Order: sequence, then C-alpha cells, then structure tokens
Amino acid sequence: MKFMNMFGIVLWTFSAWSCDVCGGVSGNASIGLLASTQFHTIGIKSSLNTYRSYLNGIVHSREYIAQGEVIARWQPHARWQISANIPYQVGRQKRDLGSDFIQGLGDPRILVNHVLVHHKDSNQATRNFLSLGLGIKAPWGRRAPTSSMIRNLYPSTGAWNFSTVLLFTKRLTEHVSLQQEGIYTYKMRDASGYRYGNTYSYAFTVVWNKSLGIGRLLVGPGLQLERFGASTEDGLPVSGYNNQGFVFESQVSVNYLSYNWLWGLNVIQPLQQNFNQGSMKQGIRVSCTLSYLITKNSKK
Amino acid sequence: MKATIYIITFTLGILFVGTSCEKHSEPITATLTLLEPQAGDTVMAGEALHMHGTVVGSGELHGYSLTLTNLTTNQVVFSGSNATHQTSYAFDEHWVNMEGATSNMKLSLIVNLDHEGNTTTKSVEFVAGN
Repeated sequence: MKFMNMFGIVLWTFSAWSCDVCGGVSGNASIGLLASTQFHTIGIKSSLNTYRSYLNGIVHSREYIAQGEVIARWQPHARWQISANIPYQVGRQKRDLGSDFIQGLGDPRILVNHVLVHHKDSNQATRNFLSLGLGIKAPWGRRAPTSSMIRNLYPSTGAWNFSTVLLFTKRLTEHVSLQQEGIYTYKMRDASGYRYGNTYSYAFTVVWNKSLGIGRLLVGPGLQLERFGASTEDGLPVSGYNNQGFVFESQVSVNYLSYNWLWGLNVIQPLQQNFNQGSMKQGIRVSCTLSYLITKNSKK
Repeated sequence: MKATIYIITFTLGILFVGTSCEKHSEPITATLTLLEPQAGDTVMAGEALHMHGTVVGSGELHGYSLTLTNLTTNQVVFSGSNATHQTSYAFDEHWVNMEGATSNMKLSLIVNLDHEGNTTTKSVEFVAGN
C-alpha cells in the first residue's frame, strides 16, 4: 500500500465533452485534482449532463447528454504525462412535440502534460506542483450533417480544438491542499465554416484527504468559472444566438483509493449562468470514474 | 374545542367557495406568438423550416397543437400536440421541405382554453419553394 502515502494523487476527472448542447463548452480538458502520481492509469468514466432550452423565458426543450469514456494515462517520465480518452455519447432532446436521439463516438482527445515544478517533503509527499499541458481534440467522432437543426446534440463538434492547461497545487497542511487550474481552448472551424468561440476556465479546489478503512478518501469541493466566446460563421459573427456566455459553478469530487483502484464521483451544480442570451441553462452534471493504477517499473 | 372546529371548517369552506368562484369568474385567455415562420416567407427545397413560438395564458391552459398543411395538395405534412396543463408553452420544431413542387403552406397553432372545446388559433401562410 505504498501508494497510499502519496498525498495529492491524481483524481482523474479528465473532462471530455466532445460535443455538447451548449455548443462549444467542449473545450475544457481538466486534469483533475493534482496530477502528481507515479502510475499509469486506465479507466472508465460515465457522465450525465442536463440542459434546458428557453424561448422568451419558457422552457421548450430538455436535453440529456450521457457519455461513457475510456480514459488512460501513460507516464513515460517523472515529468511527462500523456493522457487520452475516447468518449461514446448518447444525446436526447425532449421537446413538447417530439424528441431527438443521437448517439455515436465522440471526438478523441490527447493531452501531453509537462511537470514544471514538483517539490516534495522528506516523506515524498507533494508540497508544490505546477504543470503545463497541451491538448488536442480531433474531429473524428460522429458529426452533424450541414443542414442539421440539432448539431449540438451530436457527439462531435466537427472541428479541431487545441487546449492549454496550467495546473498548480500547493499543500497547506498534512491533509489539505489547494489546487488551481486554468484552461484556454482555441477552436478551429468545421467543414461548413462554423466555429465555436474559444473557451476559458478557472477552477479552484480545496483537496482534503484522510486514511479511511483499507484506503484513502479524498474530497475536493471547489468553484469553477467557465467563459465561452461567440461563435462565428465563415469568420463573421453569428447573429442572434451565438453561444456566448459564462457559467459559474460549484463542484465537489469524492474519491476513494484502495489497493490499485480509484473510485470517483464528481457533481457540478451551476450557481450563476448567462449563456446564449439566456436561451439555455446548464443543469447538474454528474460523473463517476473508476480507474486502475498500474505501478511503474522502478529503475534503480 | 367544538367551536374551534366549526370556525376552521367554516373558514376553509368560505376559502374553497371563494377560490372556486374566482376560477370561473374570468375566462382564460391566451396570447399566441409565432416567431417563425413569418407570413410570405419562402423555404426552398431541402431547406429546414423553423417553427418557433410561444403561448402565454392568463391562467392554466389545457394543451396545444401545431399543424403544418400543404394548401396546394391539402395534406398535413407535420403535426404535433401537447396535452399537459401549463400556463405557458414554447415550441421549437423544424420541418424539411421535401414537397417536390412549389406549394402554399399554412402553419396553425391551436390552443385549448378548456375541456369544453374552447380554443384560440393563430396561423401563418408561407411558400415551400422548389
């Protein structure tokens, strides 16, 4: 149970919205709670996102986006991490007079993370950790036909995304650390010339960990602000609903690490939002993760 | 104790009667808005038509239906209804023009004000081009 000593283990919440009803929220690729482990990981993640769409303040549809993902991380070097995921998405839009159901493979994503700073104490527990990651999302998932009226329901946005992830964690006490994560995502246009606006996000999380039973419990409450730029079409601003806005959210992650298994539950609840001129509101988002940690071969 | 029960029963009775009377004193009305399509619009073959609108009632409404009719062939090409009781509705539907020939089209929004058959309607006519 050597790995139990690690303070600040990865709580893998690698977000991978290949597509979403909000149109373009997909940019963010959170590393999760502190990426300072010495393990390769492989796992699965299930998530459910809910939305409501409004017309003049009246709900006209409800959207449910469920995703199952295979997630993996390879740590070729103490300072380099490569993570990837492939999502499968099921999207449903329920309207007064009908419904639509779209499912398929989402856009795969890969993130290369370089550890810039990693200070440890005499017990090899992390004190300060700073990393910079670069991610790419490829438009290889199922995308909407050009004429589709429900393009946001499709698993793929049909465009390349490039993300930069800066993560900093500081240990405050033996059981508490503080994590901040900033993400910027640049989005390319799709084949039809439509381009979702770039996204920015900042997350602030307090991570509390404690030995519990046969494992270690890690709880991370926090706040997150996401901002979405306006969409363009052939380089010109989209008039009317252009997907611009922000979402301010609270979130909590509960994780349990036992032997080589890491279980995780993440719940995100919007506190304040103004998106697409108020025509869409994001609801609660819930995700569960199960990862298996593969111990690296030690080289002495 | 008995007196208290009588007073409570009497008060609840008055409140119930008062509410019931109020419910029937004013007929329910509804404001219908068809944002899309607009009268005279032309939707070319293969293009999608947005059917976008709202209904706001002065009280509880008893459902609505949306019907798109090809006036040239006299065929209904789209229809849908919602029977839930709400004070307001919004709809955002779409229909792709596959009519094959230029046709006059009519979109009708019918709102049920009660279960006695009282309705209010709004329609808009446009063209399905070819």
